[in-house]
Amino acid sequence: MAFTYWENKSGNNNIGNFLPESGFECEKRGETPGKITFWDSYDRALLGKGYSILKTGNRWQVWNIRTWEALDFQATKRASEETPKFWQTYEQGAFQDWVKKNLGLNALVKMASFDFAFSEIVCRNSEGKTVTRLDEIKLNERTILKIIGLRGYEEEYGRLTRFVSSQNYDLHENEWFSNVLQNAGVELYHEIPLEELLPGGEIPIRRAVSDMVLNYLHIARFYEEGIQKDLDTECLHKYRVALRKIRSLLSIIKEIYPEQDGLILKNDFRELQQNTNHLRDLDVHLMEEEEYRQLLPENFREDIHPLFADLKKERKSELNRVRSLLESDGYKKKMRQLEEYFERIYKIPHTADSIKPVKEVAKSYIRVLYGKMVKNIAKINDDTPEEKIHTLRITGKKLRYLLEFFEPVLDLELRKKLVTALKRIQDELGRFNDQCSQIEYLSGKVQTGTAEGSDLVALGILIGVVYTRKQEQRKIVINKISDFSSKRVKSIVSELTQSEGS
Amino acid sequence: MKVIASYSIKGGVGKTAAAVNLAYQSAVDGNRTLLIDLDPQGASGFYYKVKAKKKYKSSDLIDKKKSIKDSIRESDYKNLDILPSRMNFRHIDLELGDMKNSEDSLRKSLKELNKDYDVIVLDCPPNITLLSENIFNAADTILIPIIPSPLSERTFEQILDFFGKHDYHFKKIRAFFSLVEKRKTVHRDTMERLRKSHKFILNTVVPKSADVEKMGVFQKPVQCFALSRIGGMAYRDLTREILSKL
Repeated sequence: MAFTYWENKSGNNNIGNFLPESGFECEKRGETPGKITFWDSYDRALLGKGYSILKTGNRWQVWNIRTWEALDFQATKRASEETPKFWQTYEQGAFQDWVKKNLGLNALVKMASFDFAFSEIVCRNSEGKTVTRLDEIKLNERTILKIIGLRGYEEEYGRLTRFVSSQNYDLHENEWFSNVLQNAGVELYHEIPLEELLPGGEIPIRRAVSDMVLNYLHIARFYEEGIQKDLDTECLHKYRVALRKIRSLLSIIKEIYPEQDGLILKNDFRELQQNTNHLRDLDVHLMEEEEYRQLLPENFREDIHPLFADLKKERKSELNRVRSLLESDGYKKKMRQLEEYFERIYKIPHTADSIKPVKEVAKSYIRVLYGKMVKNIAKINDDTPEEKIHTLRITGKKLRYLLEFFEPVLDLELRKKLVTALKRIQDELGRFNDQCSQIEYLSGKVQTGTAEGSDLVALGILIGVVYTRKQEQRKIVINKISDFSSKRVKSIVSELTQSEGS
Repeated sequence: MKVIASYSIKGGVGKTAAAVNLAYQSAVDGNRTLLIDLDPQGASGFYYKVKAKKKYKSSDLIDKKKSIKDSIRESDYKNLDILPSRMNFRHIDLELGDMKNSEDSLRKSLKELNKDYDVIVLDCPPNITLLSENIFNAADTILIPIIPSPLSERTFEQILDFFGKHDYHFKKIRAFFSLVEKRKTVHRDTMERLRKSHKFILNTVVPKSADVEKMGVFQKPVQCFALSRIGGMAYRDLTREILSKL
């Protein structure tokens, strides 16, 4: 079904004045004026996928913003508009399922509010058959016409579009809704695609790394407001992922900044990351509440309630500390200084490695990190201390980031194969690490001496259950990691990292 | 994609009304539906105010080298498209006669619509010709309206006899009582007798109704203006019963 969007250049929005001259018999079907609010995650994840959630009155609907059509389901739950909403706050059904699938842990946040009216105009031929339709969409002072063609009536669609065009109407891009949002003051969030940051394999490595660092710095700064408003746990998580990526870049790619600068940068970013470690740990533990509960025998399940009540209190005070920090002049100054450093990187003297081509450097580091992992894997057996297994996980993570950062300059198929093989062991290593952290955290709670009676028993049982699981997971890890040092994976790495022309 | 053919050798039994209303209800119930009018009289298209495109020829429908996609037209209702008929369809049997393996041509042509539609409804002309054999091969269900009268009963037996002689699957057949006037003893007796002898007769009964006759006046499916009356409800129930058995 063809459709196009149009808007009158002169602001003459009364469509009824000119349609009788179009040669079609046109009928306008009820206009429904009112207020409409636009909702999305803090980072506009839905808009990025071509959707938005619109609320009119008590009705919540998902709209495809390219076709400007509502999906076939809605929710009608009455809720305060100012409160962030998660998928759980809606009644069960297709709307809730959709929000859960597309937003997960992200909260739904009100982005903008409009005066809105929508009406449909049907255009019929002399037989009385509808041959084309017009949707009239009014958002604040803007009126957009959507001309919709019907299958088999292409000629009539062409005739109407030519007529509308002759009436001083301009054709719009399908993305007009994004412009309307921007005009309403909604800041759109776009992560710069890696292809733009790495336009070719020959650009100097320092320029590429600096552009990437700057990009991740901007992403981290974008999420600061979400953390301060405590919209959801994802804002802090994504802020930390951006900082972690910067730290990985700076620690993997060595000697591209003057030695002293490199040390200061590493230190600054470590401190920034450490600022939010505890808050993130608390978020993770709180999210695991139900999982912990399910691990306990039924009669002990309520006994971990005090533990989580304490955690919630602790989180509140930790959040306030992080908020003050993000608000502080010292933090803002530090972030600005870091941004300026990478913005003015061309002023910093070059090092021996800083002008090497990005593709060559990326390949050499993939070789080095993979070699390190193979050596680590060979040393891991049933008696290996946990720390060595964690070291393997961290090296694997660096390799994973490297493959992500430099994706545009690597062979697509080979990279994909290596990522798949790596992901297979990273998932198991990650699970093992989570269980180690859980035991460490729960043991810490026992040592503080705050738990007593049945609470203490519940904690003891939990530690026992998680410990058994951890031991089982350790066996799985040891069984699976050898796959990653197999001949097959070695040959993938060798092919992926071979020099051009060799 | 499932194909339902509204078929009878006899005219005036309610084939077109069944095809038009069934296609509409199928679309309302969320199925992407196409109604193909195979009858040169073009009544199905008339009910939907849809005229055939000038370039559309009957050969487009039976020659797998050609496509019918460009001749399909959108109806005024969501999920429902129409492929209207033209008077030149009266020559379709002559064209089929000139083709090799011609009894399977329609089935092959409809294959190209496999991904576009969930349900295709065929409104068939009242005869038993090469086109009918194409219909029997292409359809998953042959829906036969029977007026519960001796003449219609005889027609119905003729179809069954034809199916038996030509090895068509009896399990494709679904029949329903059409234009029923329950106050008539002959209707009640015929229905009772046929239900005992044939298990593939559907439960839903379509009564004779002034609303169904008004379809031609409004040029709309009966459910659009009489959903809560017996005519509208009967076709709604009939559609759901057929679709549930596919």
